[in-house]
Amino acid sequence: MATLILPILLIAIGSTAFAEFIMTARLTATTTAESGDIAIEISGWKIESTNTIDANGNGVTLGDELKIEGVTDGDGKTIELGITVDPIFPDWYLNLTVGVHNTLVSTPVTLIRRIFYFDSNNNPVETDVAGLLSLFRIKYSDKWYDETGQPIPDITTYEIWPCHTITTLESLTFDGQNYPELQDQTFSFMIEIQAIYPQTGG
Amino acid sequence: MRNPKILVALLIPILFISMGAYSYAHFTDLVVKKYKLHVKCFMVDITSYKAVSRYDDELITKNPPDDELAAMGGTTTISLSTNKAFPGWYVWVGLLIQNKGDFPANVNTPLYSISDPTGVGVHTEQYFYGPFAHADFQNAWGKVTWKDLEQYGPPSGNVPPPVTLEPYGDDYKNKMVLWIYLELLNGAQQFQVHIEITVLATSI
Repeated sequence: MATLILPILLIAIGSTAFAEFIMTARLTATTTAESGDIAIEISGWKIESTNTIDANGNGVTLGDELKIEGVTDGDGKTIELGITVDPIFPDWYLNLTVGVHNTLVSTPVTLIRRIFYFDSNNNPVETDVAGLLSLFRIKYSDKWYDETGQPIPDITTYEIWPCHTITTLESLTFDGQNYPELQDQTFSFMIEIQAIYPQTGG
Repeated sequence: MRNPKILVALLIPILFISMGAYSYAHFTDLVVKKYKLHVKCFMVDITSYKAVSRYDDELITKNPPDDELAAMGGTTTISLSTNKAFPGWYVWVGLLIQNKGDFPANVNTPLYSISDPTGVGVHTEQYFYGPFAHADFQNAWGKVTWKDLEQYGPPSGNVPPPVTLEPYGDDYKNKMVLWIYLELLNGAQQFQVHIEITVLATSI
């Protein structure tokens, strides 16, 4: 009996570990998309406005002081945007739109937005909008829009069907005028958009 | 296999757990936006200052003192104190301000903080000069005395704020002058007062 139960237990533990791995390894979603799986990707991005300056005076800001780079997984999906700004300064702002696409092979999904910052050991620590302000003096807000440009009041209940794209407009402002202790600091945080199967009820 | 029912009762939940966990892994997906931001605040400093008044300047204590300020290289806040203040007491404060940072900044009207245990009101006027790209600020700075200020008022050529200062060049570049007239409006016949002046710089 033990010889039967042990491998089954190992399978159960392995499956749970696999699930946790997929949940926590945010940048390495290694699943192959098949019909019935959830699969979203970043379909594009656009800087709506910013006052990022040409600090080194070389005539170039985008790709220099402000860099946005997409990261793809093994299937060619863009799953990450790396946004680097150097320098930011009091009253610096960035308004960025990002398209989130639910792929053809996926199921209907709803989204959850979570915020993490990276501690001194580069470990992600979950925080929220108020946390971003208190930690880094970053005022953060986001709005969501459907394919017709209509606002989506609550992204957590809005069902995105396969082959459809929604857009998020996120706004960041550095409210650091009276915080000289932030001078020359570099900080990192992450906006995570998680797609889940629509929750019924509630 | 003495009791197959127990075995089945164990196996079924274990199988459900494993199937559920595997399915859960396939029923979520993530995309992320990672921000990395480097802060460089403005470094617009008062590099020199003077407080002149027809009332004995020696009775005004400056902080930081001139030698200390020179050693510091600059500061955003200076303070003046006297225990010989009275209603109508006034002082002209001249600030030589320089952008020592990496990018341009606008210099606006400063912040004042008056310690007034007796409820002293204050009247201020600000006169902005610059920006000066070279050592051409002497007319608004070095040659100005309290007699000039009293007789003729502030130096001519002032401009409306804000003054835009380009990034730091050398000691003679990217400066401006700010003259402040500060008058105490009321209070006791003789009292102690402490005045703080903070320079404000913002993005363009």
